[in-house]
Amino acid sequence: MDPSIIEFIGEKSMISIIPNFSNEPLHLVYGSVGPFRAGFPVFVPLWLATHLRKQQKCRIVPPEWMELETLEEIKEEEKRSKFFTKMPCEHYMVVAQLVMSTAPDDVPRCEELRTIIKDIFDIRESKLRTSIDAFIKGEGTYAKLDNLTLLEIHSVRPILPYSLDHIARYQRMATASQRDTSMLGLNTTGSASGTGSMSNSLFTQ
Amino acid sequence: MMNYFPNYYSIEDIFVTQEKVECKVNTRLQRLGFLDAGAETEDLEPGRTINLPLWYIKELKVNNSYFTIGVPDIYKNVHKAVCEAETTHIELGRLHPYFYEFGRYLTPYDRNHVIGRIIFETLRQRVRHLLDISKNDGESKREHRLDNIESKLHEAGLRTNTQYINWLQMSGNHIRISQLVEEHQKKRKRAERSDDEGGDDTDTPTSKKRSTM
Repeated sequence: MDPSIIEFIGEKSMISIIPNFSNEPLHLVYGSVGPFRAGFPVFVPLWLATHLRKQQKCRIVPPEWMELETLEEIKEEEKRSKFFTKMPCEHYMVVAQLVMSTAPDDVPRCEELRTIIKDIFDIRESKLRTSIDAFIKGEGTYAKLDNLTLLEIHSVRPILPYSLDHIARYQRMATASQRDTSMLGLNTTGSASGTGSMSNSLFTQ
Repeated sequence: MMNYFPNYYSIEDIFVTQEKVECKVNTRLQRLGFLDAGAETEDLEPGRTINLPLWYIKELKVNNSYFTIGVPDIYKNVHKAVCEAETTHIELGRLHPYFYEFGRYLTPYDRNHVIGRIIFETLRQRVRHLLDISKNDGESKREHRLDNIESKLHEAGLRTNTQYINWLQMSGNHIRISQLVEEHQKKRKRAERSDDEGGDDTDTPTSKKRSTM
């Protein structure tokens, strides 16, 4: 999956804008938006918001979580917690990226926010790699990772499923050859460990 | 890119199975002396050691009475590193470009069952390293460090990383008008011009860049 596809999916999330024009509701394929009244906030999908913003027809209201204190807290929480914390928005990276690149003037302290969101993403990404490592080296046959966002999953694909495929193949081979001899009575170490269940079960979300 | 799985046609599989394996002859094999360059007799005598390609060996039964298959030294050396969990320092590519696959084929012939465990453990320990290096840089590629499968995984990781970086910088991936539509529009424009209705440029298709940039 390409980041642009993830962006496309993320663009469906709703965001508040303040239009500077008035118009009847727009009837789109997926549903209606509006009506637009100048000066009154209205929720529209992100793609429409960026489109209107580029034509100078609205101001984007940054989502509640796009604020320095909130994000600081999230960052601290993320550092403290062993697990992935729940993000305020499922597509936080996409929303941040789009809003901040199309309308940097609508977001107070834009640059600082950009840095901190990047920090959060990096922390989560390295946490993801650490837990992958623990999972692969450990004995577990599956791992459950909650609260990961699409873009974070993207960062380990396809290298992770590929690696797991290979590991599973070699594990099967190793256990199979051991089982052959254990049947001959030469080697009595059990072969009861779950063999093929390892691959691709990392993301159960 | 698809994940690699060996099959009859995959070139990697052919390369791997070309590898020579050291075998000890157990029975007198008539008229096979030509396999051993140093032999003077027409038959292959028991006790001699010859190198046979893997594609031949792998069709033999594990406990066949003709040859005893020797385990290559590379796997013995790695064994120590595996025990000490120091596998990330091994230059696998230098040991053998197809370390894992070669080992996989030899697994059934290893009576001590080390090879199977070694390749499994080695890859298991090195995945983290692979994830790390594919995140950090694309430039300092030290080829001899990675085995063929690892460098493929590495490439996949690098590609993901470049995609992500490009996305962050909002470069690439502009939506273009499909060629069919473009041709059609050109044709229509030409028709319009010949009809001499010109001057109406409002619906001229401009090559629309991606709207969400």
